Amino acid sequence: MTTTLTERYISATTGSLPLETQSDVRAELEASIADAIESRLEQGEDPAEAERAVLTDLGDPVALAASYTDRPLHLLGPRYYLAWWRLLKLLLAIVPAAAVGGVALVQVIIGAPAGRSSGRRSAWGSPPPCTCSSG
Amino acid sequence: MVWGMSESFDPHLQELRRGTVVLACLRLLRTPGYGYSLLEQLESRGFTTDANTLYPLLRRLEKQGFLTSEWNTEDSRPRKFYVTSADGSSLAETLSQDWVNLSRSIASLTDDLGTPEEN
Repeated sequence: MTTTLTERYISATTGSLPLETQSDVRAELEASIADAIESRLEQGEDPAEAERAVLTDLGDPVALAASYTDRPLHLLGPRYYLAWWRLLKLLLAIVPAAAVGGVALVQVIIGAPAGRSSGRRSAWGSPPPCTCSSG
Repeated sequence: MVWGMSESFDPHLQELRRGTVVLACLRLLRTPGYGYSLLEQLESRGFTTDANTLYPLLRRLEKQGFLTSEWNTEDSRPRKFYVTSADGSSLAETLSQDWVNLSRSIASLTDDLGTPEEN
């Protein structure tokens, strides 16, 4: 019982780490968590509560994994933020105009055949000539 | 009012203390220690640190060559012991010196008579 929650926590942490460090981090975390639980038990805590408290203190396993790998928890750091923001503003100016222009152009191109086909369709409104000749 | 104030101080205090944990680790690990033991030592010496900050920090310092590690499997449970390397010692020396210089500079800012230009 007690091992499953810890095991799940450790697996959630180590799963996203590079393969070569996974087993080492796993073994180290197992010892650290066991040590922390043990010290709480010595103070007379309930085993299940002690385990829960220790894991809660360690926090979100994904955040822990991120700090093991030095992986930032944001997509854009300060280094690229301004470049990204300028590009975004530029694209916001260009893309909608280009899209409107593109759609208008396509409308013009398909507009003519569509008119012709609709004309043909109105001609088919009357019975086709072949039916008349066979009958 | 005082409550609101001290809460807005917290991020600044954290920022100021961040680097001191590295120095404390390098000094404490002159004698080999493992994760949880170090966490308790830091706490008892006034460098309260979160476990989820300390454990990744130890691996980072090891990767940078300031700590070396060894698994001890003789105890009841296998534990990874870290020791400060020669590079780690000289880093600790440099950081300590910087700390002394900084506290002297800060003292001179706090003390009105500290800076002669201001007279």
